Amino acid sequence: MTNHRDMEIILGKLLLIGVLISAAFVLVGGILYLYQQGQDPTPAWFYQPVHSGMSVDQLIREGLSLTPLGLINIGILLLVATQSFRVALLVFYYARIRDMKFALISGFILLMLVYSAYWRN
Amino acid sequence: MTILLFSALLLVFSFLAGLVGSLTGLGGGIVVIPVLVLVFHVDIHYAMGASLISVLATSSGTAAAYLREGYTNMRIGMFLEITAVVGAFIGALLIAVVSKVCLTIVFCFILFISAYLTIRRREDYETYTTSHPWAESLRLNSTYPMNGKLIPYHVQHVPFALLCMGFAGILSGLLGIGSGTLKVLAMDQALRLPYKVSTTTSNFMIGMTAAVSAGIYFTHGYIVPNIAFPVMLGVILGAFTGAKLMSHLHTRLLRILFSIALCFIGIQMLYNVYTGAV
Repeated sequence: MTNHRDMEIILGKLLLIGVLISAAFVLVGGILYLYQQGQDPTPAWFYQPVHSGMSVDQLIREGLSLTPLGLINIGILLLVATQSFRVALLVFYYARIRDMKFALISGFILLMLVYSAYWRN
Repeated sequence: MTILLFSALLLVFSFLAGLVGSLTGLGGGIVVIPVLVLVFHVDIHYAMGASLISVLATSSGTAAAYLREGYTNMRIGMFLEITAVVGAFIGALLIAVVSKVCLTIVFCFILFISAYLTIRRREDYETYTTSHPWAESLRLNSTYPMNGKLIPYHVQHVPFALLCMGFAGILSGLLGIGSGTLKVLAMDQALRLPYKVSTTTSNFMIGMTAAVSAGIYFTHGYIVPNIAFPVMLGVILGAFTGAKLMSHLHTRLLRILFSIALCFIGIQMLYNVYTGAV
C-alpha cells in the first residue's frame, strides 16, 4: 500500500482529525453547559478532594444521553481513543511491510492502551 | 463565583499557559497545573486530570505539521514508547498511594529541572559515524531535512534512553504532564539525535503515554468535564497561537524569563505545602 513517508502523513492527519472532532464535541458540550448552568455558583466539590470516578463504560453511557457534560466526556474519550486508532494503524502497517519486530512493539503498546482504559481497581 | 466566570477565567489562563508552554518548549501541562492549584484553588488531582487531557490534545494537534516536515522518527518513537507506556501505567497507579504533599513536592522538583533544562538547552549537535548495535538491528538511524538536503544521523546509547523513557513515563502518569522536557533530554543526550528530531519525536510519543494514564485517571475520577473543558480548549488555542508566533519571535529571552518565573511558582507551591494549604 503505502511507503513510510505516506504513513507519516496519514498518521498526522488521523491525529488532527481526532483532535478537531473531539474539540467540536467539547466546545458544543461546554457552550450548552454554560448556557444551562453558567449562572449557578461553582459547586463546592471543585475545591475539595476527588470524590468518585467513573468507568469508561459509564462515561460512554452518560455521553450517549447527550447531556452537556456527557458531550464533553464523549469528546475527551474520542481524544483518548484516537491514540489507540493510530497505534492500531501502525500495527497493521508494520505487519504489512513484514517488519515483525515493530508490529509486535506496536501491538504491545496497543494492548497497554486498551488494558489501561478497562483497568479496574 | 459563577460557573460562567470560573470557566471564562480558566479558559483565559489556560490559553496563556498553552501559549507560553508552546513558545518556551516547556509544554502546557507543567504550566497549567500550578495555575489551577494556586489561582483557582482546585484540588491538584483535578488539575492533573485537566492537564493530562490538554497535553493529549496539544500533542495530537501539532503532530500533523511535524510529521509532514519529516523530522519525526516514528521507529524511535514507537520503540522508546515500550517503556514509556509501562511507566505511565505504573505512575498513574501510584497516584492513589502517594499523598498530595508528596505529589506537590515531586511536581515542584520536576518544575525546577524543566526550567533549568529549558534555559541551558543545547541546539547544536555532534556527528557520529557509527551507531549502537540495537540502532542497527532495529533500523533506528534515519535522516532529517536541512537546507533542502537530507542529512543522516546515527543513534547512540539505546538501552539507556529506554530506561530514561520509563522514568519519564512514570512522571507523566504520576503528575498528568507530558514530560516533554525529560523525553527530549533522553533523546538529545543519550541517543544524540538532532534537536529538532528529539522535540518532534517526543511530541509524537507524548499522546500515547498520556492516553495510557487517561484510562486510570477516569477510573479514579481525576478527569471531570466541568474543569477539563475550558482547560483543554484554552491550552489547544494557546498552543496553536504559540506555534504560529514562534517564527516571528526571539524566544531565547522569553524562555529564560519564563523559566525563572516558573521557579517562583514552584517555590510558592512548596510554601503552600509548608503552611499546610495543599
